[in-house]
Amino acid sequence: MGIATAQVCSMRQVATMVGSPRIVTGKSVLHPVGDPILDLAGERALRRRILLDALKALESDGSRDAA
Amino acid sequence: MESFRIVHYLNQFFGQLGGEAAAGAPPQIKPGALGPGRVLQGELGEGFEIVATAICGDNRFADAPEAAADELVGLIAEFRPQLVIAGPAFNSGRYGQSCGTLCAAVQDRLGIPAITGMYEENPGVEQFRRRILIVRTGATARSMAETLRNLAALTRRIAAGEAIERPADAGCFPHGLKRPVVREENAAKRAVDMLLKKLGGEPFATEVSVPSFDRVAPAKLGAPLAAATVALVTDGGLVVRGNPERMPNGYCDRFTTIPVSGLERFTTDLVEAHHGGYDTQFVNQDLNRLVPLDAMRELEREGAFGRLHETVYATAGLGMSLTNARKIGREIGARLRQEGVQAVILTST
Amino acid sequence: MRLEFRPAAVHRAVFGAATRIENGTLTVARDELRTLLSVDRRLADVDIELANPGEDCRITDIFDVFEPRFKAQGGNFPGVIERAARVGDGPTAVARGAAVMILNAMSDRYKLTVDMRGPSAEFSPYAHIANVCVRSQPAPGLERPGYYRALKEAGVRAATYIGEAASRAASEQNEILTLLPPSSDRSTLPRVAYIYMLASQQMPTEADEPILYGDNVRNLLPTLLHPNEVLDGAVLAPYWNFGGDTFTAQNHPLIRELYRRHGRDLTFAGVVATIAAETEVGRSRSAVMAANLAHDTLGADAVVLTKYGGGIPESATMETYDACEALGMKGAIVIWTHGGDGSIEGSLTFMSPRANAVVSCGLNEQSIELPPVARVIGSASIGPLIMEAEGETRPSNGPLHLRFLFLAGAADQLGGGRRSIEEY
Repeated sequence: MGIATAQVCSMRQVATMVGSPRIVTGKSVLHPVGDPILDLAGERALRRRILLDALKALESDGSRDAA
Repeated sequence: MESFRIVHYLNQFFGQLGGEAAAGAPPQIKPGALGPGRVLQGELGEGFEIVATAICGDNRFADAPEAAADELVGLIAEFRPQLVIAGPAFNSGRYGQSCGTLCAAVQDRLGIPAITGMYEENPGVEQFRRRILIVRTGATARSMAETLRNLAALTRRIAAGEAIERPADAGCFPHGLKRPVVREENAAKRAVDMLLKKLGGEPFATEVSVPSFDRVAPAKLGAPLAAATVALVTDGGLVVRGNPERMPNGYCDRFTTIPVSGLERFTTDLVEAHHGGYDTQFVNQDLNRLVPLDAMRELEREGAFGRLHETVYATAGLGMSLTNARKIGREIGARLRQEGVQAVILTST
Repeated sequence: MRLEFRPAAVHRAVFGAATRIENGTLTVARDELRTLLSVDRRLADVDIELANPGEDCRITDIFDVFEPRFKAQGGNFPGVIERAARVGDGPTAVARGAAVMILNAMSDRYKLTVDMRGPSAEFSPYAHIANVCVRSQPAPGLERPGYYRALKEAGVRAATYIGEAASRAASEQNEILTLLPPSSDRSTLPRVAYIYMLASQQMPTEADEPILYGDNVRNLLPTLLHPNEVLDGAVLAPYWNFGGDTFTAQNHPLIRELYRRHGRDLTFAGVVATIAAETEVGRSRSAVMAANLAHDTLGADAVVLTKYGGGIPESATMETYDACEALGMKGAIVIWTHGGDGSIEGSLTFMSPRANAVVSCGLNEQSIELPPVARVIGSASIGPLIMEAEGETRPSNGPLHLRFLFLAGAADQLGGGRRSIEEY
């Protein structure tokens, strides 16, 4: 039995193709959980939101994409 | 002139030891051809001799495949064959396993070719086609006669010293491998040719086939999130500053670890991103953009999950082969399991 | 648009008093060209060297390659130095059989190498033409984006300068390239559009990086181009040279092939230019828009797609392919192949299950053994290149184990090569 994993990534189709069951859309391949055009507060908020989605995905049974 | 020497392998049923009851029969060998082997001998004719028939019960084999293959190889070696033919196994999963495992072992240890036959849905096809030639068969023993003819034909080619460059042309499953070639025409011309055939409804051969991927069953969270230990993992190339472990920036076959116990956030004096497949300038300004340590600490304090694991696991995903990806994934998973981690957030570039 | 190429044939290049092309010989006035390029103060120690086919010579540090061209009415690589102007129409002189090679003195893991003879020659067009190599150093304190911009401008200047010599020479085998606009084309042949990825933003383009009419295509939304614009200097290779040189665009293999068959077994419907965005949202948007342009504006029955750059664009290409097929167009893709462990599984980072017509432009890991050479144009050592460890350098003149990816002209992703893979 494996370990429940939520994957934050921008390459959604690659992840789907290999069967990654809990995919959360990241911001960009260049900065999955950040965004240099935002200010620090904006980035923190973005990062937090993505992580909350990831945590929620962990609680799901992994049969459907998370976000 | 001496005949081309063949040893045939059969399971308990075709080897006439009995049905399911005999599925535990131990590895054994008998001189000459048996059962379908007699028909095969007939197909092969002069110049070929099935000098012995090795037999093992499918269950016995499945219980300890390496040991069974070992023992059988030892028995087979005594007869000095130039080729081993196993089965055919048609759609039988266990028999296919035995045939495939034995053939691979014979090739590895005796250095002679070993061939078998299976139906396309037999799991042994995917498992063994890379390493051995597997003749296509029908789903059941109703296709025995034709299969034996095909095995005989393939045997004749092998005996003549022919290298089977394209298994598909010899009635076998493709190995599922690829090799570089230089073609007559450039890719642009080949693409337009292919497209026009496709448009016209004519058959065409793609140069890169669509692979099938093994599906991994999603693991369930082992504990309620509020109590769970969560680890951060990345394929974005995070390394300790200065890259002391000399992690390559691509084509990795290993991973590295970054201790984060007591660390509130990543800072550029502690870590860096080393990855050749994307421009790392943005994450190297703030590594939390790649592995969100700061936000995780915040959420940890708020009780959104139990605790953050003290080790971050990282590798660089550029050009990573599937074999290595599986290996690294398994190794990291095993370590995390041992370290009491219940969940992972993987950030990918 | 009616483009007329007027080629002046070049078989070899020599230095001489005045730059001209005569009887197949390109004479280059070294000091004049050096002075012309040194006007750009961003470049220091500019020098010119020549390499002819068959010489025991290796050129390394290659940043980009340009075919010398000249348009008397203006529009020489529009938008880079000259203002943007209409190209793809009217006469263009070509020094055919010559190239300008711009060398990069900074360390860069994507620099290219070519031998003028030996086992690699069959794989690169540059081994068979006369190369005018421009070496330079960045001015003290100049950062990479500034130097690279200056290098592109040097390529444009040198290519135009030599192209101008071609315009004064006798031309042979003039060639007319023209297509009827979609609205006037009454042919019943299948309409084929080409979806052309110019760059990948996984390595974001610099602010003044000139790619399309001098634009940096940073957030390029799919747009239409006439194939003549691509062939006539509107497109330069990105600084991140990983898929084709400017020379490759000027002689675009897929565009050339579609033109060759235009009116015979297909109608070349046009070119949709795009990029690979680094966000998922961006890639989806590009896929939708490109498919719409091909289907509804160009009226294409079928599309061919190529990519540029690394692995991330594979996803962009496949998504665009799927969008096209969903609209009823048939697609074919030209794309590279990863070796992985040798199995067919890992050939692409991403593959659509519907991608049933794929042509491989070669195995990425495949390399070639090159012998030592007598003369090197470029720096004394090569490497480290991508996939190699830090500090993995070797003498440029020595025997070289080189991946095809780094052999200039050998691994273009635009369909020019014959290297491929075979599944078995």
